[in-house]
Amino acid sequence: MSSSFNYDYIIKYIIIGDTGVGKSCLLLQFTDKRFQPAHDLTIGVEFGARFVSVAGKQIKLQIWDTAGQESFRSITRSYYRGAAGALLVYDITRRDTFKHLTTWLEDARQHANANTTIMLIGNKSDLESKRAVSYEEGEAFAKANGLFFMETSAKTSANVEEAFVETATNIYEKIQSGIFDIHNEAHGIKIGPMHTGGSSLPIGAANGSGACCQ
Amino acid sequence: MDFFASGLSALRGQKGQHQAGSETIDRLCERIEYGTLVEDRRSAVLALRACSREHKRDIGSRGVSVLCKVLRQDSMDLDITKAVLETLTVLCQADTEREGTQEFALEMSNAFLKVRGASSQTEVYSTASNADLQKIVAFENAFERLLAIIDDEGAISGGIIVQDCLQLVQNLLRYNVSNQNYFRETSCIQRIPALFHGEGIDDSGVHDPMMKDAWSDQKGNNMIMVLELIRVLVVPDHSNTTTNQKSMYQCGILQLLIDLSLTSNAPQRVKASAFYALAELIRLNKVNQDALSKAVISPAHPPYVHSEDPSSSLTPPTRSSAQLSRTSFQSGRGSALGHRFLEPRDRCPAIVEVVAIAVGQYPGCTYSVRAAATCLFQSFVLENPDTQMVLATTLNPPPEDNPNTPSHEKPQSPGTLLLGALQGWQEDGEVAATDPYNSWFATVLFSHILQNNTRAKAIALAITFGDEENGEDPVSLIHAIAAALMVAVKGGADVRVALGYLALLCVWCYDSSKSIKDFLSEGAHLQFLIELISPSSKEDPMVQGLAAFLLGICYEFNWEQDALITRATIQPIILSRIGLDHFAACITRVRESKPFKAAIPLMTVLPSEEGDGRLPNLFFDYSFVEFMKRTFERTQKSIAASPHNTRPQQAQQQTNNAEMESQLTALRSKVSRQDAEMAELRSKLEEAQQALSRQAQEREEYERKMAELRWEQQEGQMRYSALEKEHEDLLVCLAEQDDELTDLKGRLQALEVGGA
Repeated sequence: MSSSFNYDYIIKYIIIGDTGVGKSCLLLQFTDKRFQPAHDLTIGVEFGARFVSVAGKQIKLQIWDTAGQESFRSITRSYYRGAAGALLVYDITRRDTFKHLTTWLEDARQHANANTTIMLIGNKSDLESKRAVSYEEGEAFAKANGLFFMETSAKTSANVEEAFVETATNIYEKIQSGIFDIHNEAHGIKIGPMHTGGSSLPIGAANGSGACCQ
Repeated sequence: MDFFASGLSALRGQKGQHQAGSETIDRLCERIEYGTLVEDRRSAVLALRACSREHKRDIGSRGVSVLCKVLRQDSMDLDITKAVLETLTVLCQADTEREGTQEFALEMSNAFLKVRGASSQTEVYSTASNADLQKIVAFENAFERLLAIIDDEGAISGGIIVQDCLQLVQNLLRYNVSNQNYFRETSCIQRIPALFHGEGIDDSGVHDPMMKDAWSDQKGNNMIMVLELIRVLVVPDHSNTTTNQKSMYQCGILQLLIDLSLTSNAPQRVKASAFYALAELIRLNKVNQDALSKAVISPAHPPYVHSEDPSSSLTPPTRSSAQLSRTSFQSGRGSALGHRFLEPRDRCPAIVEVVAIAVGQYPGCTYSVRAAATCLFQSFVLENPDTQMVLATTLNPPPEDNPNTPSHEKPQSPGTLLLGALQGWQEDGEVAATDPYNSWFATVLFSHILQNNTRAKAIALAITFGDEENGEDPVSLIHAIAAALMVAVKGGADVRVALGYLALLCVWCYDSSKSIKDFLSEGAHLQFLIELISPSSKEDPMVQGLAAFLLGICYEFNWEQDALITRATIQPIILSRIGLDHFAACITRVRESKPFKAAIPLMTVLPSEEGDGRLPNLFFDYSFVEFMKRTFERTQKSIAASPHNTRPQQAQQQTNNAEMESQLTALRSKVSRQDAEMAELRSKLEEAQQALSRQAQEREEYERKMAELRWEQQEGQMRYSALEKEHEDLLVCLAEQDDELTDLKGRLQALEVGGA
């Protein structure tokens, strides 16, 4: 845990999408590098964190995993706020989860940040024989809506690391180019103690919102 | 005409006391019916009234139609109307006079439609208690007519007549299952939504579209009557409730109630009623609970805090909240106008607003409204473990700020609102001094999230405060609550504050060894409880009682192997420093305390209980009272058991059992629902089968008849052809005879000629 004090940035992520597309499994594969086939249905919001390295910088990803259940969406939506990155997940073997993407996207755009980097993810790529949504369709949807796109498998871990890191890289580029005002925490980014970009950074300004990670 | 004016006394004078009552009644009725002068009719009615008590039967059987007729005819004459109604009221009390009463009811239900105001009042009075009357009136199409009157009168914007009619509908339905069925089967539930939308009519009856949002006292009364009507149809655990809940959801009543209670500018007493109605509408109904969970609303502006009140700045903080609640009773027009100039508030999940109201986020809200909102919350999580867990996960604060909305409101979740209210006590001394109920309501809500839910408890246990990255030691939520409890007791806060925290800790620790381990990992907590209970303690007996109960729970369920404070540590302390007798006495004292006994299922604060700086008499939540009554005996006994006893298998099983039981109850209720459905379907099937067999019988009958007819026809045809043949034969015969006749005639002529 000693490394937890050594980071340049904290970036907030959310993972959204229909129930059963594998959101929690993606998170678990990313944070714990394991796959749990019979994962309990996520209730409400859950939380995970991991460090990644981008361009030599230590970045802590703080990831909110939200339940896909519709009945609680109005309550969990408040957790989209202030996210710098969003993974929008569908299941390539279930066409309906692909059809619902528009709703999820609207939700994310409305409740998260206008500059949020959104990565569209077609999960369960290991189940090629049951595929119901082609790679090209996913790619086309992403292009039409200005999203990044990847197909992943939380089971085999194919592309999981890449999905999170590529999103982080894009956000880091936005920070570098000044699109994200890092002094405003509303953009889902917090500067860490290791950051050497300036001496008067509001390190202590955080008021506990990022303190719940285990 | 003086003779008539002298009325009954004259009659009595002429024929004395012994005259048969029926004769007198006949005469009086005749006079009422055929009297040409209004004075005559009036005196006859008065006379009839005078003897109504003695001759109920006679008047009941002969007089009612006459009375109703005169009521219609002379409705402008106040004396007559009054006397008629009084007479009818007397008759109405005659429950034994069956026939008379029935006839009366029929007449009456016709009559009240003509002379609305006055007689519906009588009807309101008379239908309140008599089930037979209720049925008769209902089957005379009363609901239809009453709802029509209410519509005519402008729904909730109407006058006292609307209130009376609504009261009447309610009387006809309350406790009367058959009328409730009738109400539903005749699609009257679907007409309830229309009652919510009144016309803008001001007090003098002038139509005014600007008045649409204003709430007169009468409109408030009418609205509350509508809400009561809804509640009569969804009484908890009633056999009709599930069906009615479904109908009400389908016709949009649920949404109307959400709007009325959370987004409208209705007076607070109306909002309180709406919360209770909503609570009963979603109770134990997954679909309706989900509907509330999904609802997103634009919250109404909270009731005003009148800062210009000159006394408010001078009075101590303890009084100000009461003053706020008093001013908030004067809602209606003034505040409606005031609200127009305020900016719209951020949309938020309905349940967030319910929690915000309950925990005192809006200082202007009355305790009545807060208690009602608390009831709604309880109903929302009742037998709904998923919802409990979702709410528990929202204890993690949502990310702050949202650059996409212009508003500066802090993002809130139900959990963070609760945490704020739970801790706010410590952070802001003045608020705490103002209102012990902020933390009290929060502890009640929180208890309902945790109750009987192992997973929700685990989620709550994982919540910590303090920024580790900034070198602060993280404090777990259960420790933060224990700390708040200690500050409240030591700081001499209102006893409700401590009672709330203790009750929450009892619910949290009960049957949860992990929670107990965390709670006792700070040695000061045990020390504190012991001090509270010790015989020398001067604490409030209720606080002592709950502390003893909590300590007992901490002993009974303390099964974690690596706990800092084990059973072996606790028992000797209890035995030596408190003693079993004193321990038991503490628990008995709280159970026998007045507030403990006064707790009722639907937490209610009457308007008379608050205001003028008084706090209501809410000390315990009813479900906590039930929980303690159920468990205290075992907890009390367990103190005497050896600390070295291993965890009873039973207890282990009980953990599972508790979960299984909750599942079982859920399943059971599902089964019983399905049973009811099946029974209904079966009866329908039976009916259909009966109808079918009836038709089959009829068909057989027809077929039989047809066969008979066919046979008859055949026979007829045979007979016909036989007759035809006979006819032909006869014709032949006739021709032959004709021939013979001609022949004979010829011969005769020949003979005559020969003879001549």
